[in-house]
Amino acid sequence: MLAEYGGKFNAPMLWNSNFFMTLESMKILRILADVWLPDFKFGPGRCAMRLAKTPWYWETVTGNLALLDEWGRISPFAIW
Amino acid sequence: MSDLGSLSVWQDSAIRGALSWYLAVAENQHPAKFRIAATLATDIDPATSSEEALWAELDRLTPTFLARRRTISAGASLPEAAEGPSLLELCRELTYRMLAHCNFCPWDCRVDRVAGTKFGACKLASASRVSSHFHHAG
Repeated sequence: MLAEYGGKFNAPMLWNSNFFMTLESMKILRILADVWLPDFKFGPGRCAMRLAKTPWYWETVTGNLALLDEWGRISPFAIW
Repeated sequence: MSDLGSLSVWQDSAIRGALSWYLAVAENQHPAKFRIAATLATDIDPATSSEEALWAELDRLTPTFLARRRTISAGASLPEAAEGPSLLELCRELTYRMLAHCNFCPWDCRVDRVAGTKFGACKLASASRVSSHFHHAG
């Protein structure tokens, strides 16, 4: 099967990351990502600091997941 | 139907509901979002505009983009690609501007990864480094 729509290349863009991203990154990806695949790496508390020396991990990732949920509610699609 | 579409996982209504857009694009029944973005012309020239103007243009075009995607999901056909710069080029330009003062992640290092002479927390310039690759079998 050709990956084409209207005679031009077509394929769903899947964004697979840890979702440790700023709002600016999210706003660009909102236009481009057809499906989101968050890898939730660390739990709450100091897990991400202890294991990966990464501050703000839990609040950043949960905040971005909440944002996707909100964007999904604004649009009529369950997940996008 | 393709091999993907005939997988038994789609018989689960929750999964089918949540991933219906993905499946429709993968089956080429809908255009991918980047194809929709390419149909929306910008009012400004991304290459010569300030980054502030680029963000304002993204904010202006996003609701139009979402509305267009809704109509396409409901069965409308994809309009022709824009003649000049589109929302897709706008996203590309914004990404390169951000790369030059990197704020993709909350470390907010503000290093110029295009120049690549000073590194931030991730120690990356503009190229990717691949540590492993393998097939995801699902």
